[in-house]
Amino acid sequence: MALAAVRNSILGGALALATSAGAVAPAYGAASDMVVVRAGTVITVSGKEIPRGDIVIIDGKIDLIGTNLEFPKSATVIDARDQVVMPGMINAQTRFGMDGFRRSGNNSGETAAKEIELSLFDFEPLISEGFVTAAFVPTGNNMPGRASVYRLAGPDGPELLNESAYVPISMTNPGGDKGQLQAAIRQAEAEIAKAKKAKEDFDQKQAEEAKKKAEAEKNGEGKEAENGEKKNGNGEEKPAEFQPPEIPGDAQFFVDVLREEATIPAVFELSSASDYIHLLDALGDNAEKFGTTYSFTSTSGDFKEVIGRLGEKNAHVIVRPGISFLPSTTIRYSIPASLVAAGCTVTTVPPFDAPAGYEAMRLRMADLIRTGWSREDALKSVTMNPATLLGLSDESGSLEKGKRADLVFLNGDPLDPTSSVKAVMVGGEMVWEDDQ
Amino acid sequence: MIERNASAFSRFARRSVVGVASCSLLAICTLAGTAYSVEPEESQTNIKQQDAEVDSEAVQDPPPRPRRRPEGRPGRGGGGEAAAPEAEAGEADEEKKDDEAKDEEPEWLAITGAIVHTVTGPEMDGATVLCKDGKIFAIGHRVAVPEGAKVIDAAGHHVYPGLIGMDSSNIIGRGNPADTTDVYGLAGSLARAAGLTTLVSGNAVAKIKNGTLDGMIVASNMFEDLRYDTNQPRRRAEVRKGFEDARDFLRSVEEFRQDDDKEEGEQPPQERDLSREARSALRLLRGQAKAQAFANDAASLVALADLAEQYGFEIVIRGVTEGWTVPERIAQAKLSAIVVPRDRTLADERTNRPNGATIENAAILTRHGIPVAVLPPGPYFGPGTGIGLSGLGGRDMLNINMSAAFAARGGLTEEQAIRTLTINPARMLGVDHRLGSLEVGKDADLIITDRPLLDYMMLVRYSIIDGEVAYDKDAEGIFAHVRPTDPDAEHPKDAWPRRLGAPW
Repeated sequence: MALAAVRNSILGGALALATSAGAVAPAYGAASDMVVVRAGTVITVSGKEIPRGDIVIIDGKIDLIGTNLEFPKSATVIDARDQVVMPGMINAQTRFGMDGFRRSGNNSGETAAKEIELSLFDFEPLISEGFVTAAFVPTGNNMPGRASVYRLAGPDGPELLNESAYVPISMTNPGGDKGQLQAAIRQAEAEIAKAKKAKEDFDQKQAEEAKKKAEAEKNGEGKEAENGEKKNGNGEEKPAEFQPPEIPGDAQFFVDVLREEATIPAVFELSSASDYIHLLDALGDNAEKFGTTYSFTSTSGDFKEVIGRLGEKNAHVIVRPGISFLPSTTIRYSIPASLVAAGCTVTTVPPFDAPAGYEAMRLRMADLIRTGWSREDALKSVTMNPATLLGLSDESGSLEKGKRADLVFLNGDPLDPTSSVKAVMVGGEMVWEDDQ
Repeated sequence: MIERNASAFSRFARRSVVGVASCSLLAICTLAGTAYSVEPEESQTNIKQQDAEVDSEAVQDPPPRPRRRPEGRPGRGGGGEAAAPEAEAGEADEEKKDDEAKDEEPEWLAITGAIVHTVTGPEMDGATVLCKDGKIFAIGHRVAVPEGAKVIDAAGHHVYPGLIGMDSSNIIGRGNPADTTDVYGLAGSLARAAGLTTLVSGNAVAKIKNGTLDGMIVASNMFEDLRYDTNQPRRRAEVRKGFEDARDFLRSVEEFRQDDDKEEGEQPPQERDLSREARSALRLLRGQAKAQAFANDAASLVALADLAEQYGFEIVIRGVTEGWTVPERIAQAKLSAIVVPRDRTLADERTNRPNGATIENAAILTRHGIPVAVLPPGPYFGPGTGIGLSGLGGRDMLNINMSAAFAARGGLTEEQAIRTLTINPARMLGVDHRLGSLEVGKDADLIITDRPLLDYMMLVRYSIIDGEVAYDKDAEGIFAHVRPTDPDAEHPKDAWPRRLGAPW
């Protein structure tokens, strides 16, 4: 596989490893395994940037970040004093490599993981741009299925972290999408009504049986022992348990949402401000229950019409970075900066879902920083914020003690378009290195 | 009819109005505040009394002919319901009280000092139009403006009912416009700038709302398409058969109803057994819909008139190029016409009868009592359909008022020409109980223009839909710099500035 080859190529890499790379790989996983990364600058994202920082990694997890640290001689030292180290980036929404299925309608019971055959996937275009984790979304229209989160490389190869992270729901073509969404909600309402009716019937039946039994007992007083035995037999029968009717997989998420028991969010894909109005219209009274996570699939400047409203709800918005213009003008407008100013959380995904898009991402983000987006927010939007969205904030998204050592090594600032990714580490082990 | 949930949007819909109060109101009239605002200190209880007087001022024009109610609206009260009104009135009063309790502060919007063209009533100079919660509450000279109302001082300006376009022209979406329209789209802004507030898309009547879907759909399913072309004899035979089947069906239903010795369990005739044509014809015969046909040549028009007379239903015909050659037949069959005054179909001189297009078409049809609506040439006569940036030259809906002006050039009076864009299309669509004229109780859909509607220099100053400002020339930017209200004002920063002369 491509990644195995990449790992081996570390041997001849530009990174100066204190011990030979051949020794690092087999020793990985031993309890006393310690790796020390001596970086030029450490971008922790959650805290301050640390110049000349050292990152101590034990058992693949970050143990300590500081400067001028002392560590045992046995530790593996990775000297990257001329490089910038940041947490592994997270792609919160990608369909890269996901071809083959064109579903439409409500398929929210499906997951991307069911379609992904890891041996056929080459994640290198993502890894080589610093993406360590990615949420894959099935192809298709309307509600194509749940997003599945993968760590794209690791000591044991790619790994499925979370099979169902969120449910993407398209509203980019309201003419068709609205009807499908409303149908899905109606189906869920019918399922809930069915379950309620089944419970009522069951309760009624139980009450009737109890009544019958009581009468039988009354009548049976002073009768023969047989009856008594029988009665005992009945008494020993454990009371019937209520079995709720089975809910079809595709209705499950919507049933959970309507019951306010959903554990994963819905992510609504919008291509224009008008789509948001149509979405609210389609959800009707249930709008609150569906949460406020959105994905802007375009950089249309007319999103300014609804950004204020999204801010009021502190929405989480996935954006494609790019310069926007106010509708029919040449006036520049920054969607991410406006979202942050309004009170939203922003997650950035590549401007288009292909290797060239992954390469263009940091350049586009740099553009946006020049037009008013803060550097901190930009960095969070590819690390901490997607980690929160995908439920990974315990293990990734920033460089802190206890989190997994997923690091990206760059030869300059990540938001300087001229810098490039030189190496990627996952769980304390180098998984990719630029061989140029 | 499509019901829309109001609660989700009303909060946002109101916000758009707030901006109006703060923006600079018209300050053109030197008489502002003298001619119309009678005793502003008066308490609100007096206002209603005044309104009662005022209502009579706007004389209502009786509809020219009995109108059939479209589907989805309550049917006419038959003889059997004669006892009901009193009880209903009691309920209505209670409802009214409930409403008042619910919404203690109604949304008032007053347009003062304008020349008000009510269309179905008199023209009133310097009158006030008072809107309450999206409906017209009062029109007259002695209307006091309640405290807290948003006031648009429109002195020297003209107020008309919002124009109704008989074609969607891609301004509102296809199919069900409430599912497909871009409510923030530029085409919508341009349409409102042109004075349009309502459009027909497919089989739905929809308002051109700004940023909301609330109350967008006015009516739906009001037409049955009638394809009765002279060059498709087989198709015509099918249509005729459909009407015959539908008529026979209605007869058999009536026979079944009157049959006293029915067998137990005998079923009445079922609609589902009918053909598609017959089901369509059935809706027409029952008056649940009007027919919509496309016909230009005299032979087709006469054929449609014959069909309508034979079976007794209404047809709205689009095109009607040669209608002027057979106006008597069209009038006799009580058909309506959507014409293109700027149609330029040349006469064929080899034909032994008058033919081809004439600018007098609308006038001749109107003279014969035929309701006429107008469309610009784009939608039906070649390229140029819809509102587009390339269409500023005038073939498209952006200059729809000029189509009415051309009809006036062809002989219509100005009043009649205004009707071709307001009350006439409203009646054709069966929505004249809400739209098409300025009358108390109708929807507050109106436009405020700086010149008479048919003036070629006319620009819309404000467009108001459901009592809310949906277009403001100064704020929108499309025409802000053309004869600006305030020549020194800066061009709005976030608006469309680049097409009509502003430097890049």
